Amino acid sequence: MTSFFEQNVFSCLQFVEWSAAEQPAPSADCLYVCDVEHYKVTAATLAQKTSTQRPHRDVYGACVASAEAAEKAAPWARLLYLPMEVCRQSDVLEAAVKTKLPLVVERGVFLAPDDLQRLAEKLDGADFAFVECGSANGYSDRVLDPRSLYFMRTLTKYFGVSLSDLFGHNDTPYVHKAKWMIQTHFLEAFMTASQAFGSSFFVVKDTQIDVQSVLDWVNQNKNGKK
Amino acid sequence: MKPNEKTIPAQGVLWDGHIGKDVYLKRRPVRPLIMAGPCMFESWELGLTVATFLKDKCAQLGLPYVFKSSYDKANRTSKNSVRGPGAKQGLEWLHKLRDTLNVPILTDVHSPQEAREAAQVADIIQIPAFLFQQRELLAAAASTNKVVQVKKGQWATAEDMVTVARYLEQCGNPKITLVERGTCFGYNNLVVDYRNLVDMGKQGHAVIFDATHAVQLPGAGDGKSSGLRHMVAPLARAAVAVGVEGIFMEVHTAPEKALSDADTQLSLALAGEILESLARH
Repeated sequence: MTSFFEQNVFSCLQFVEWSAAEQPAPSADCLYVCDVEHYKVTAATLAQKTSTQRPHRDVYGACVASAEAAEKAAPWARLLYLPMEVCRQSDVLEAAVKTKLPLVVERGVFLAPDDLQRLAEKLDGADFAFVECGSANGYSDRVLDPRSLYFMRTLTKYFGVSLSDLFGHNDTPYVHKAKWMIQTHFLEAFMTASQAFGSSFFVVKDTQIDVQSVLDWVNQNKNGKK
Repeated sequence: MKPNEKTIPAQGVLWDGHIGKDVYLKRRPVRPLIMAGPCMFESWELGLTVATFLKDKCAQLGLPYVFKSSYDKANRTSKNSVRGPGAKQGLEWLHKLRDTLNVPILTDVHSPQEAREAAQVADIIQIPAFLFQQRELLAAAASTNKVVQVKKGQWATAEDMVTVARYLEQCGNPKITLVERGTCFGYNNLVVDYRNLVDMGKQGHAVIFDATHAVQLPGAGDGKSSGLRHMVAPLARAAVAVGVEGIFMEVHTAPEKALSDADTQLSLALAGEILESLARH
């Protein structure tokens, strides 16, 4: 079976609000991801989109955090995106696998890289890609661990790295994150390290990171060459 | 047990601490509330034996008691691990146990539908740590009007938990308890940050210390979690010294044979010793 991720090469998965997702993505290799539950997308809305705006199916990925949301999104979404909080929830994973859609699954920041094997077993039969969100390094900080990328590479051909999770969280009122950590220069370090290890795509979830810059960087650094 | 004179303030809304039956949660108690029982409701006999022992022991020591058990372990490390009796059988047993022993019941839920079902039986609806920010689940739990207990994610800050508590209040439910259950300390390891016990209660919310999950070594047992059982007693005593409202712990008649968390559940004898030391505190 040919993987969806082989046939459809995306440099970036960008999280957007439902209304923004009605607009075309900035580039053909950028796929929009919409959070079904957060934006209260109703089953009726989805049904309408499926019947009257079928082309939208080619545009959206759906972020789902429950079995119910996975079932609801399946008729219209091009892929399902499972956030790191649910990476051990067997019911959610089973429901996602059952849709037969390609799955993008985040590694929990609490999950040891070795446990990715157990996660892959739960995804048995699915066409899936992992996403690295970093490992919890105290509060409000996540570090990129090449050992995790190593496991991802051995367990699936396609995996991505969430730049927002590695970079973000400068707005928490509970200040544990020193200012020196929040510098845009680090984005290039994250991208270079990820690409060197074979990462296929990046994930951007917030407006702190300019998606166009990420896409430009990828185009300039194809095949790991600057 | 009568309610404390001091009610529990939560963003201007008051909760008198009533949990269920005649059990109340008190602020800054001399003796903490005990939430305890088997990790998984493996059989009716196990639940009844453990609950009877704990109820009697707590009554003898003057500790308010709530029975805890799960009927579906939905986030096991391995897909091959046993999950439990399931919702139908589990809720039936919980209901029977509540009536038989006249104790309040705590159980955990993983979906909005499960929250509504469990509320038919449980006095406390518990949100697991991994799901502590799932808003649909929180809203469903809040809407049951039962006490909502939220476990702190192992990567989350105390401030994150206060935000969750405010959200539950906005959903119209001031009956909230927040649980510390350890913080990621590298891979396969947790540490207890006692600052969280203080800061999670800053806005007036009740704080519970989960003494048996906090000593877990997640995933360190080759496809399952391991743990440091000998740390349960000292960490629980320290939490009571800090001033938590309750202690949560898992107890089994034969921990070494338990179908989940075998390395951290307490035997009846050890649970009894720990309860005695907490009551003496």
